[in-house]
Amino acid sequence: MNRSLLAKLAIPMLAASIVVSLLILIVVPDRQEQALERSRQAELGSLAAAFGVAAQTAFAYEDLNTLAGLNQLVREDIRDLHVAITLDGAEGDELMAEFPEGQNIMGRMMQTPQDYLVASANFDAQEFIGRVYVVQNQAALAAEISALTLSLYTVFAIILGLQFVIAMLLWRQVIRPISAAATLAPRLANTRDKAIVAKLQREDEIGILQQALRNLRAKLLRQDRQNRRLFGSLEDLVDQRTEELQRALQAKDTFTASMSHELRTPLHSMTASLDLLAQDRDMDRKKTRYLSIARQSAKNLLLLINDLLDFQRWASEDVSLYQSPTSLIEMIQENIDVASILFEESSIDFQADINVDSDAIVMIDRQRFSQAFLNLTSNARKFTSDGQVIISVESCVIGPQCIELTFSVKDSGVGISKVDLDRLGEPFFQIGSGLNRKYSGTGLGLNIVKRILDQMGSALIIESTLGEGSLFGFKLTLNTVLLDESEGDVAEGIEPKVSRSPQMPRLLYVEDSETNQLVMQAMLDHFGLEASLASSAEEGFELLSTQSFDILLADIQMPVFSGLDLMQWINDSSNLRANLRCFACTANADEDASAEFLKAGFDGVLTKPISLNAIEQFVRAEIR
Amino acid sequence: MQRLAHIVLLIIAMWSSGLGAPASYAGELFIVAHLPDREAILDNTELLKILRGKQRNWSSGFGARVALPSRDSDIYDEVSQVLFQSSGSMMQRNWFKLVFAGKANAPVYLDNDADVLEFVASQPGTVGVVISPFSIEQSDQIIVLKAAE
Repeated sequence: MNRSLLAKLAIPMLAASIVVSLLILIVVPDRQEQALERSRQAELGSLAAAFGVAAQTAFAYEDLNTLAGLNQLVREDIRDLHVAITLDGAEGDELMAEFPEGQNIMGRMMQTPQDYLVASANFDAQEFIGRVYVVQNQAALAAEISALTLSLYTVFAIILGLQFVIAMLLWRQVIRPISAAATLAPRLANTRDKAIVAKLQREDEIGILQQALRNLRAKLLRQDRQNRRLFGSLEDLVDQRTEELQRALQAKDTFTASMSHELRTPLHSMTASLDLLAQDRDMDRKKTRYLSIARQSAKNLLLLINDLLDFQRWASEDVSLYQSPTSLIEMIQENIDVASILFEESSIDFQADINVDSDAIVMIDRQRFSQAFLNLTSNARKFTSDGQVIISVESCVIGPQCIELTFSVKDSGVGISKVDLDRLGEPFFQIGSGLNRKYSGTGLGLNIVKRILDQMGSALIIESTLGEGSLFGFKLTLNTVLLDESEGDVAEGIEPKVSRSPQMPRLLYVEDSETNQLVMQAMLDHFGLEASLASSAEEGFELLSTQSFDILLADIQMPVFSGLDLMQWINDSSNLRANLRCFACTANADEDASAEFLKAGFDGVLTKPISLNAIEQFVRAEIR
Repeated sequence: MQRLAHIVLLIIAMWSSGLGAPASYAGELFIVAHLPDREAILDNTELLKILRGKQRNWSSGFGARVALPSRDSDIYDEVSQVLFQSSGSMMQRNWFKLVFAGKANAPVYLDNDADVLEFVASQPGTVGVVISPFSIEQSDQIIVLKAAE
């Protein structure tokens, strides 16, 4: 109630009235007493003079009528007055008469003069010379003053009571209804609130205001009911649209995955065949040149498909990191090795400054790290025609079992303008884009790198000056782990385990596509390996049951029974699974899919298109 | 009231030579009354009380009024001597005290018998003292009664 009308209006009014009344009560009685005393003194003087005249008239003119009239007047309004008339005698004043009689007022007045108010008047009528004394007892005056003061107090008590009644009326009739309305007003907008505006049987301004609030409340409730109905229909519509959208997204995802798979499958045949063809040393320079263009185009197509697939997955936020214990130095070195291939046959001075803890085993998604690493490095290569590209990698311990890895790639290439810097990382944005754009690519690479780093809790650092070059980098905070020596080599993600077979492994390739069978067979043959072929899961399982194999390469998506079904059958036959290493060959590049295959029992995953280099690494690993 | 309206002139020979005569006047004094009630006249004590200011009304309740000799009257001191056994000034003081105390109606001070008789004759209930009540001319409205000693 601090800021209510009661506090602002009624209480100050009541307080002011009380203060004023108290001041009046303090000041007025004193002044009233003084005034009354002066008035009484004057009155006594007038009365004494009148009695003097009456005595003068009585004695000088022998007319007692004035005295009689005066006497009657005094008797009727006596007010504790004493009148004494003295005559001059030989021994001073001689009391001739007094009224009331027998009071000896003169004697008492002589003894305690302070108790009396006295007025006198002389008269001189021949032999009658004397004085008239009119006397009033102070006690009587005090009693009169007390009576007056009491009357005053009574009047002010009545005034205060009236003020209180007025304040209460003000409170009940004005302030309380307004306060109630003010309290309810903010709640009126909330239609869920059960606030009810009281109905007042009043026709004054308060009643009108209250009725207006009631009307407003009723209108709001009606509007709310309409809104709820509208919202209900809108919610139904939104649900319907959301369902449609989800179906559309599902269809898009299915389409993307399907297209990715369908594109990768022929691409695998194409790149593998081109790789095999490139092994032919008898081709002339012209054919070699055409072959090189075809291989590069196939690689670009693969990159494009991978980027689109990644972008789609990141956009749907359907991405998780798969961290595994990884040797930091090995991971860096591998990426440097791959990156260095980019700079072969170029005039660019490529340098790598590696300064990392050679013993550190970190928890990291190795594939995603490589994706970011190689994306930034390939960008440096792409935008630098000559000059220098320096990769710098450092690690430092920042806490117990925690290191910070700093990566940067600095080039002396074309650099980036300030305008382009602001847009860098937007999907499909490319520097120098346009009809005559100079650089190839989808414009998705940096966007994907940004998303990967964001997922890893980092951010992309970009410094660039147009015409001078650029620096791209990031910092990662990585947890380190300690491995027992007995655990041997560090797990390397989805890479195949090392086979200890001392002889050339016997290999079975299960693939429904005849083209892929031929390409795979040619690639294996290139490395001196022979592979038995099966066109379906059932045929593959039959061969496994009847012959002895060391390695199984199984396509996943096959008619009737998939590669996963085949893996399940193998798992169920413990005698088959014991000495067999199983690898899934799939055009599905999704990490989740790879994880699913490993979980199903496969020892590794080869993602189509499988290059000759990949087969070479795989073969070396397995023969070793 | 008819009876009260009667004019009764009482001539009372109050003083014989045995009562003592005043210095300036040695003759008889008479009390003249205009009574409202014929029977009341016979009470000398009541008359004296009225003249001395000891009784304000007649016994019938009618208001009494007294005509006293003024300072210039020949019987000023004599009347005072008769009524109060003191001087004229003492009579004035006594009547002053009575009127002042509200015990008596204010008297009228007159100079001579004519004024007294005129005053008494004109107002019922009045009483006065004169030397010679017979100076008034008799009429039908005025009834003169000789008071007994």
